[in-house]
Amino acid sequence: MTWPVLQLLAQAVEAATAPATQTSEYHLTLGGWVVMVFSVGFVTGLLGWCIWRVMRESTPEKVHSQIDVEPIDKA
Amino acid sequence: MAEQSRQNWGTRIGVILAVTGSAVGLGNFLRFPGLAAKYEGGAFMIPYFIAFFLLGLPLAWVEWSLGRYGGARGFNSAPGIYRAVWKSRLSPYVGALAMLVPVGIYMFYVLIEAWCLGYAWYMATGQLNLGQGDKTAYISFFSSFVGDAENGSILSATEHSPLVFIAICVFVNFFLIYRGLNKGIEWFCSWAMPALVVCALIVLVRVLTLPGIESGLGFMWNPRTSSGSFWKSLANGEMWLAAAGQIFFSLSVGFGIIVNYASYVKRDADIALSGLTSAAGNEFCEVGLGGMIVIPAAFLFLGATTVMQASDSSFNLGFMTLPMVFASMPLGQYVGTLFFFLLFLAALTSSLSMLQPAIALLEEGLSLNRRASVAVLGFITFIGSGFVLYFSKSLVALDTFDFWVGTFCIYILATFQVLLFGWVLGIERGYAEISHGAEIRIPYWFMYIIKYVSPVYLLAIFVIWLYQQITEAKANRFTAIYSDPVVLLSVCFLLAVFGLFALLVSQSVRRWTSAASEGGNSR
Repeated sequence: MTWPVLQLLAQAVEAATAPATQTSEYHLTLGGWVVMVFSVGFVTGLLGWCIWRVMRESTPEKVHSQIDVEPIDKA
Repeated sequence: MAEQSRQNWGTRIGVILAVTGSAVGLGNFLRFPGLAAKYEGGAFMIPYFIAFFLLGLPLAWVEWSLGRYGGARGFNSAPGIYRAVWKSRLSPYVGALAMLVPVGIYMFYVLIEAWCLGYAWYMATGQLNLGQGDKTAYISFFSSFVGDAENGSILSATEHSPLVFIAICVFVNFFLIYRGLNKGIEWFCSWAMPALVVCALIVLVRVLTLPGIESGLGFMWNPRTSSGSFWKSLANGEMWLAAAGQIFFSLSVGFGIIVNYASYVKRDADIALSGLTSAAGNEFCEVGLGGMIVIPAAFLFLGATTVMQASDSSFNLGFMTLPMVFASMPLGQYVGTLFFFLLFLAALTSSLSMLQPAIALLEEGLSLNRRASVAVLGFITFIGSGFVLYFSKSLVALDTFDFWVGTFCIYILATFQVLLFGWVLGIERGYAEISHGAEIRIPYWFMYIIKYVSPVYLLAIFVIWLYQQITEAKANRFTAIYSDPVVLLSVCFLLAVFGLFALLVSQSVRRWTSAASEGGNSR
């Protein structure tokens, strides 16, 4: 008696959580891994490197403004 | 001009986030994954990254350089900047195109932004859970929400009307624009961009923890060999065209926006690293987040055939297919809400940037104050958005605006800018401009890419794309002008807006010329 109940429960949980469609045809291949890791890794690495450089170079006097144009206008 | 209080960016991170926010939009999360899935998965990334280095990045640097060059000479609007670089009567009038492009795109983009907000709301309140496995319900929901059954139907819609969401979006856009560059755009982007990334990361974690996600990732990233071999699929010219187009549109180059934003940067401040950082931020959102979320999840729940059918259209993928995916996904209601909210943030940071170039022209060319220029632009965009909203049948007006302004004019403007930099300013002066204050050294050969490769690349894409449009019998954009009255009306409307901007430019030129002849300033 316990076994069918458990089976039903398991089926219900599976139905609630498992995706409707699954295809084993498209399992991530070695080529897919390489492309994914390279692509995502490259853009993430590039952004990380840029942020590190921006943070390293940021100094108060490099804050953007255009006050250097003012004297020309006022002249 | 001297009486006008000049605006500026508060921090360097602020300007980078603002430019990144301008670039990151729906294309990052919907168009890119759709294209990558369509064109042989992993094979697409090769032309994509080549286009990034040969087209996207050089064009971004060109815009940053032209902008700061013009800004240092007291100009923030594209007409003024182009005139500062090229002393020709024609140059400021090309700048009118740099006004039409962002304003014309804003007119329909704000509606799409409202759809995203509306979908986030309906997803949060459970009204978008229309069941699993039947796409018809989602298609009819979208159709009634955007009113594509009949012109003007949106104005009489009672259930699921987008009007409230449109009103909210317009108000937020103009409120932030009215607050100015520093207190409006920069302030908003400084929290909206991190919030967008956090939302995307939460959605990403949910997607990557789905059982069987490996096959979804395989569908997205595996270099498939349906055409025989990997090299054969690489020889697909259409894929190269699509990759270049995606890079081009994704980085927001040719919109006249970066030119305007960069003009507010200090003369001695770096633009090389800032330009690279904002481009990298856009790529991270596109490849690192967009590429890992949408297609793998959609494939997992709907299968290859449905995803391939939806991948051709961002609207189909985003507003008809994904809600069905979220309805099937455990915790889908919360994940879907976050996803559409992040799309809304991405759209809002982009639409904001579309208003600033025209505001700059109204302020510096006609000496209008902020309130008056916001009011004038508000009136123009109200008419334009109202036009697109009313002619909603089959989304013909939106599609026409998108084609002529969001594609055709952008190619022309980008080509003009790259020629302006490479051939008028010259690569010697251009390189000196980019290198001035630079915190990274850009290799000099990039100048040859800008001078020779990028224009040829752009022209080749443009000619092939134009050829495809002309020869396409089903959806020929040129014959549609005289066969479809709404298309004709839309094109006439855009020409009228261009004429209006040309008139404003001519008034501005007159003022600049008289100011220069009075010896008041360097103009």
